[in-house]
Amino acid sequence: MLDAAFILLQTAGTDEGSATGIFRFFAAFVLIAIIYTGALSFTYWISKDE
Amino acid sequence: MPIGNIDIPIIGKNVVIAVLVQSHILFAAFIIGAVLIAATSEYLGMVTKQQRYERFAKNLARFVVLLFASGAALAITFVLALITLFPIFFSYLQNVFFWVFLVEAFMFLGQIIIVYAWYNVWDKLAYRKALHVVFGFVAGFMGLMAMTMIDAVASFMLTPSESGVDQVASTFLNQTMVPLNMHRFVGNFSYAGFLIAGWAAWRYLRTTRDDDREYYDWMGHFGLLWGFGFLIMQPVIGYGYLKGIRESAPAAFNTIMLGDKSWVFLLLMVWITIMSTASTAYFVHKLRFAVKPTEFLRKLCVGALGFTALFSILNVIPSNASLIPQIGLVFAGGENTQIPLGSMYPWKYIGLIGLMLVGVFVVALYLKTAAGGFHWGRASRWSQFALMACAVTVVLAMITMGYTRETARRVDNDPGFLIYNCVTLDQELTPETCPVEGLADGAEGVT
Repeated sequence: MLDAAFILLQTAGTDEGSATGIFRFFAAFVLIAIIYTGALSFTYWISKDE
Repeated sequence: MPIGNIDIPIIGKNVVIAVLVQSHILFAAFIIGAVLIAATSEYLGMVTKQQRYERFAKNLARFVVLLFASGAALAITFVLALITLFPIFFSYLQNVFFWVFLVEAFMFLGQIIIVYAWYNVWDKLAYRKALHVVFGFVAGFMGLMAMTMIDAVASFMLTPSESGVDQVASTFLNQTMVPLNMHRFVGNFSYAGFLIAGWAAWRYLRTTRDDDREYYDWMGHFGLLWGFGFLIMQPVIGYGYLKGIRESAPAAFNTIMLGDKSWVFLLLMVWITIMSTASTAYFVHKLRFAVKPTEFLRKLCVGALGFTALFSILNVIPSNASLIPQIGLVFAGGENTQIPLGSMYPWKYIGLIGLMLVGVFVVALYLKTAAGGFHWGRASRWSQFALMACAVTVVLAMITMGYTRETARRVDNDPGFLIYNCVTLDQELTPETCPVEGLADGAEGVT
């Protein structure tokens, strides 16, 4: 379990030989979704009373 | 101190760029599509005198104005990140595409100015509607031009031109620039349309007023017509784009279509399956509320829903048992175990062509019925959930496609490239493989 966590969090290159690349893919996926929905919600919030 | 060796812990610096660019694209593509849809809607309102087109256009224009700052801020942040994390690569790119970046910057500026003016003088130009509509289309055109400029850069990174680095026409019109630009032009409409439909569904479910229910019901229908109508053009344009990649960068093509990363294409097809099925189901549902009952057309649509599901399934069957090798999802013999009906030829071609033909058929039936009018405001809850599912899925599809295009340059990671065969991920120049004369020859190569 701990080994798996080390593999996922390693900071070396993003070669896709291990699960690191996949982890980063989904990490990026989640971050994008947060930024995108965050900005959309903010836009909705500031304009909902118009 | 060495330039460009800053590392970002945990996620790595490639992911930083990916997150910023992808978020930016989700805004930029929506803004380009939405401005053109709003301008078209305003024009339709002017011609048909139907009030809801005007209401829709103005609301969408306001939303674009509100959203523009977020999209622009992400663009600046990502350029900043590129300069910090990939300075050598970005310097080369700016040298090759100086004029292109310059034109893009001014198109961007022009678009901001016109979009704001367009929204601001909406009431003032109420009696000069034709002129006002032109504002919207000019803003949309400038957005498209900005996109065209950055498409030249993005396509060059995957398929660098086989010419001198100072041949502006060759580097600009590189092998995949035109198909990529077409793919994104059509995609903007589809993406914005699906998001508009999803938003309308959300508002429809929450509103308590009858006139609002009718309006949002109509808006969901209008958004989905853009979304699904343009989606069904994408397979043939996407095929043209992939054909360009296969001819100019065969190893990259093999990676994303046949090799270790072919699961990204299957993932994309999963999203397309959800969007096609949900859209067709919505159309079937909507036909019940036609002013002139069209029972026969509705039955044809039910049949089409069955075919949509069938053709979609053909597209998501993997070709062999090596599903996602990167995380060990390899079963029974891996690459050596062929799965029936999973091969690209003929099954996925049949699936894609079938999806398009059935899509055109359904849209034609639906438009024929829509011409007679619908009773608005009576749509069921699940039909609105279908619209919202489309809106969520189209975002996932955009992210998946962006990842696919950018990861194609990695091939086997030995090495991965920023500019394919010319500049590696570690920002090393590889003159021995680079097709662009003068690009990778060192500092004096670029003049």
